[in-house]
Amino acid sequence: MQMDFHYFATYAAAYLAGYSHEESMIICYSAQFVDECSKTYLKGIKGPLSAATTQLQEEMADIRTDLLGLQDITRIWASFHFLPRDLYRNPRRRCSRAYRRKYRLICGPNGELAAETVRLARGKGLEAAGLAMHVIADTWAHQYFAGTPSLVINNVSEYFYEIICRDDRTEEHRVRFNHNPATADDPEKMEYTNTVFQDNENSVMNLGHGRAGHFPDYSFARYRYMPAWADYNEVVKDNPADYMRAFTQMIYALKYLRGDIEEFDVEKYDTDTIVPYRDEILGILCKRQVDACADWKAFGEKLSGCRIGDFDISKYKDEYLAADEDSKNKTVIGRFILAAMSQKSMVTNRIYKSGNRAAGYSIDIGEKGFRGIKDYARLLQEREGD
Amino acid sequence: MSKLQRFNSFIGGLLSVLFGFALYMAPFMGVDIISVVMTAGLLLLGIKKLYFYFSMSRHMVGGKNSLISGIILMDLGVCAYMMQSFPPVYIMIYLLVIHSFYGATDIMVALRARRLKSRSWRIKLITGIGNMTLGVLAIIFGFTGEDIFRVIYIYALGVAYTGIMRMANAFRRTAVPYIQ
Repeated sequence: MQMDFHYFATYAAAYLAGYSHEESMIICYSAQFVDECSKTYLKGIKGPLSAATTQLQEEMADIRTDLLGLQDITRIWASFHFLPRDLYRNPRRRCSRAYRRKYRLICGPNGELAAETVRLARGKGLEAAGLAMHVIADTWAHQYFAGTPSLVINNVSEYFYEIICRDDRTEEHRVRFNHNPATADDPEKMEYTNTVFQDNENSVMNLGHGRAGHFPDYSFARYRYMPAWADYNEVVKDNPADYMRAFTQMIYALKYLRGDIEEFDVEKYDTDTIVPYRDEILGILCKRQVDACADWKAFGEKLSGCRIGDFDISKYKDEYLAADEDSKNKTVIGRFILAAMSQKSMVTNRIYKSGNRAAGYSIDIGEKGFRGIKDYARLLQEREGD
Repeated sequence: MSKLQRFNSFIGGLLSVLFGFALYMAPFMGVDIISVVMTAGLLLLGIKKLYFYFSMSRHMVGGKNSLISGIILMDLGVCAYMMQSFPPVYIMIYLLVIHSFYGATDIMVALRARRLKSRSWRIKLITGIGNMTLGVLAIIFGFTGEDIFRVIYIYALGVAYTGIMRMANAFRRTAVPYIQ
């Protein structure tokens, strides 16, 4: 997903869930900030690098895909953008352990980790709520891909067809990707880019949905293709329907985080709240455009009657830099950092406990005391303070 | 990392540093040694591809490509082994590509870091320019034929640097504490 959904649509979901305009702005800022909080950014504010929630293209080009590099990549992308659906699922056919480990990282909605993500954010502030909304929304958009470099999971063959519904007719067009990152996608001309094929299992070109281009990120897209992992079975992806489920699940989750609902369960959607706006939302989702920011913004502003400022990465930076060491955790960026480390710590632990070392080692401090990456001492101090 | 992985990382790094040092001290053997390394590299890559096919990519749509490329790489490795001497021009091209690629990515990262006002941009820019320079020097010294030893020194430096990085990685704190 992109800024249109993570920022403007998240604002609308938060407002519909009952948050005020000001609260919704912090939630949607935090949801979008997940796509901005890289190690490069954190170095700029002298923040803990373990709180990185994304990696810039330049960082990816520079990263080493040795054991530690791969674990770092997996911790970031599996925790925040490709949350695994089922860490104990087995492929239909007998396979090696190495293959099974990658297979189990395939992202999807309504998994146990998705529920844990939302529950973990409860009572941790608006920033944690925004971060959780990013993760939940991406489980819908990024399903069928894994947040780790893997040719055998994430590769997409030339069998890739876009399905276009026009005037009650359905057309199918074979998609031919180009690999020039400087070229913008043009749905009208059916020009799309994707990453270059690399036959190295651990190449960063094989991370996530890079091989399927931006299709998973476009709310209007409907397509069928053959994932590398599906035994030559095709998958049909209906993004408008999935994005609608994501939106209604976010409203339900945000009501839980607000305290309006006692328990959060998967497979539940708040469809009642959007009844008056259903056609309008569906209209935005189905419109063939690569950037739906303007439409979502207009919708959000109509809902609240307030102006929604464009996303500004520096909005809360000065507040964080000006705060003294003791009060940094009370700033918007500080609370976001704690939420990010908490989420990463939880997902890494669950992957590790499933017997999978793809995200590295996790040490339960309740059993062994504080060991491991020092950055997490900040999270521990905060928890002890609570 | 497990203890075994740390041990492997340290020993692998140490061997790389020693290899780089040996090349530096005895550059007259350099071209032959690099030839052997590159031949062994092709053979190992072929074996790795075949292992990858049987352990993973046979489950994947279109996975037979790994089998084919594994066989081709092994063939190339055998061909290289059969050749009496490895033309130094291949070594130069290899050095140019490796150093230029790392140099260009370092510079890109540095420029981005500078835009974000991160202080780390200077070090990245210096290493980037350094890498690009090494790549260009490899070609200049190689083609002018003035001093093939200098090309070997560049290769030795690269190997030693990689070894030091691997040794340093063996001591890094990598486990993620689970805190709720």
